[in-house]
Amino acid sequence: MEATVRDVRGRTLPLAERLGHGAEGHVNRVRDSPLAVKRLFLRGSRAHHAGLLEERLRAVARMPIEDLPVARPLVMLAEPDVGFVMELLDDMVPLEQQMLPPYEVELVAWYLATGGLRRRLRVLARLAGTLAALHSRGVVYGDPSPGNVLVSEPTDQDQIWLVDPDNLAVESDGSRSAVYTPGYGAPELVSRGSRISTLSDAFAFAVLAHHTLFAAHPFVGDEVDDGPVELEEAAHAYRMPWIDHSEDRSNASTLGLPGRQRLLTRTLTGYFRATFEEGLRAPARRPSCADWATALWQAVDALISCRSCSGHRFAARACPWCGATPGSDLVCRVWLHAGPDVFSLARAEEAPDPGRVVGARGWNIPAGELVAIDSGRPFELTARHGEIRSDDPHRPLSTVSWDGGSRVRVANVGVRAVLLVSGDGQVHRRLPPGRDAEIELRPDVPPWRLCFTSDPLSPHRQVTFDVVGPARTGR
Amino acid sequence: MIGEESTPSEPQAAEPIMSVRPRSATPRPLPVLVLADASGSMAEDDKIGVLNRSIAAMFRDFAAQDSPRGLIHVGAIAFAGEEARLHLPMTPAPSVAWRDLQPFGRTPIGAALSLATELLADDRVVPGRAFTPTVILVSDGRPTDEWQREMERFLDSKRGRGALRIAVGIGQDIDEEAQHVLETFVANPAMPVFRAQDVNRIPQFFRWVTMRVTERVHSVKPDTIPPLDPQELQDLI
Repeated sequence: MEATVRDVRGRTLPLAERLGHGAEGHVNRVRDSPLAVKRLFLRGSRAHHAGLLEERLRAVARMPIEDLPVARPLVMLAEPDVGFVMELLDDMVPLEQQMLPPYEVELVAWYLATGGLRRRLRVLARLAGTLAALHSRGVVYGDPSPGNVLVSEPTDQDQIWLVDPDNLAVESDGSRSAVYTPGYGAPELVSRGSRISTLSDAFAFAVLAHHTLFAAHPFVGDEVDDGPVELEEAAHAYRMPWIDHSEDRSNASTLGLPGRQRLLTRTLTGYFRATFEEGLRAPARRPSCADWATALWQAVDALISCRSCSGHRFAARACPWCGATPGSDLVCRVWLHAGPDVFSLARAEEAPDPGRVVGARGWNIPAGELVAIDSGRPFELTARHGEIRSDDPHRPLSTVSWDGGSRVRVANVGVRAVLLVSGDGQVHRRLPPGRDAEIELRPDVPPWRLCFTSDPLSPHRQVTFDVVGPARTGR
Repeated sequence: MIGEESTPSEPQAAEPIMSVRPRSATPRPLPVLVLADASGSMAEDDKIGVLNRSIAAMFRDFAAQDSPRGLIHVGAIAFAGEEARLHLPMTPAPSVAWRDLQPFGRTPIGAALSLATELLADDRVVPGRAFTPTVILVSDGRPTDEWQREMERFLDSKRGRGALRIAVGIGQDIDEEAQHVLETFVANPAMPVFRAQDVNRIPQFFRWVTMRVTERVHSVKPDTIPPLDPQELQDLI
């Protein structure tokens, strides 16, 4: 009905489709422009609302968030609206619209067509990473919910964009009461009126992740779904256990994707449990958004395309979608090589497993990460895998291609030389930037290593290449 | 770091997902019931034509609302002649095709209220998990049957009482009594009865209703009926 709004600079903005909606208002795209408008619901005096909003936006403008995918507020709306204009990216739609199941849909076909497990894990990893970056700068997002997070419309992309910047708060600022979306707001916000915190963000993120990954809300079991609205309100106030509670099965669910643990790494399964059981009443027990980001990227790394269907499976595990048993998978294990300053030469020489020692000095410590490589699809190892500490975890270092048999090609796409070392330590091959090399994997010898350094004695990260069969598991 | 295959607590876990045809939660129904005047007088000035087109447009807009929280279901009761008929059984909006109302006879509002009370109380029509219904009464004149008792029954019923009730009086024939009937139905001093003296205001009214209802279905708390915006209303009263 009302198709335009005006901003305080007198510009008239024609509104296009609704993008999102938070607890306090709607977000619409502005027609033919890289802008969006958020209008707040009016309750009470306009002047009062507008004054508070302006104050909040001024605080947001001072926050150090320029490099993050968060919409920056630009200008306030003029009367009679209360709201503001913000930046938008092209081709973004609310997560709710694209990644939560629509009405009467063939669930599996829809899930796979919207990017499947891999894209969902990647989108969530980016979201967790963005929240973690805000948190590391002392800023809390406030209301992570499926209506506030935009995702790339093309399903082969996985960018995110957060559109509720007026709720951003400095963690130490306790002046505002919490705004949250029912079903996502952390228990301490819903029932105790606590202030928003990095840990309430982490709770809402966990609900969102569960809903997105399994097409099932973690607190809406079968009885809640069938019951009256009041029961759902009780579930949204966490007066019932979560659907996969380790002891209390009273809110069990047959909704969404079954066998949820098959779609997760053990770490992620543990994170959901920690958040929705102990972390329900004890926020400090929740994994942080940074923990989630790390674990989600690790899960993305361990995932490969099933050769029998269009789903994804974890290396060395059966396909949860079609049940196909795993064939031979190429798995890269990531190690930290500790330099001679960390461990003494004597201890290195006494090592029970000499194969784990580079040269004569230093130890290889498993970094707990694992990368599975699809045959015929080059995988890009980035700073996240190859650098001990990195400013940009997504900077490419090397690509690994596997022919599905015994041949692996490594290309150095980074800016520093890397070193390929044969399992017996006899062959060292230096790869300058831009060069590539092929290695042969043999089952009877220790695996080749790719060292992200040109000095094998310095502390560095390295990866080993193993082909694992169905009989063995990842480690 | 690779997780377990499954646990005993999830017996279905061993089945491949593709062979079990999983389903997601169905959105809760958000029922909208229209009580539509199809009396003979609605034929004048093509009031009935405008009403038909407005309702059809509203239902099309409802069908386009995609929200995991709620799904709008629509139904319509037509009152004309000596009786009220179920013109459109409660149906999910995306599957509705509006059949035009044909005007004839008198204005039996009491019969329409009686049928509405019965309909809303039926769990097969409005299941227990549904959100609070919205009921819209559209009329162009005073009732021709005994309406008081049925009105009381409707307003005393659980779902009639809890419903968001909206009424519009169409045309020049809304006298004091007709207005009184509509006000009794709304029974909320903060929610005035709409007047569409000019036929052209009928679509305006339905666009307003569309906005209210779609706002609810996207709202984070659909059962909290949003406050009325007096500015929006000024044009319509």
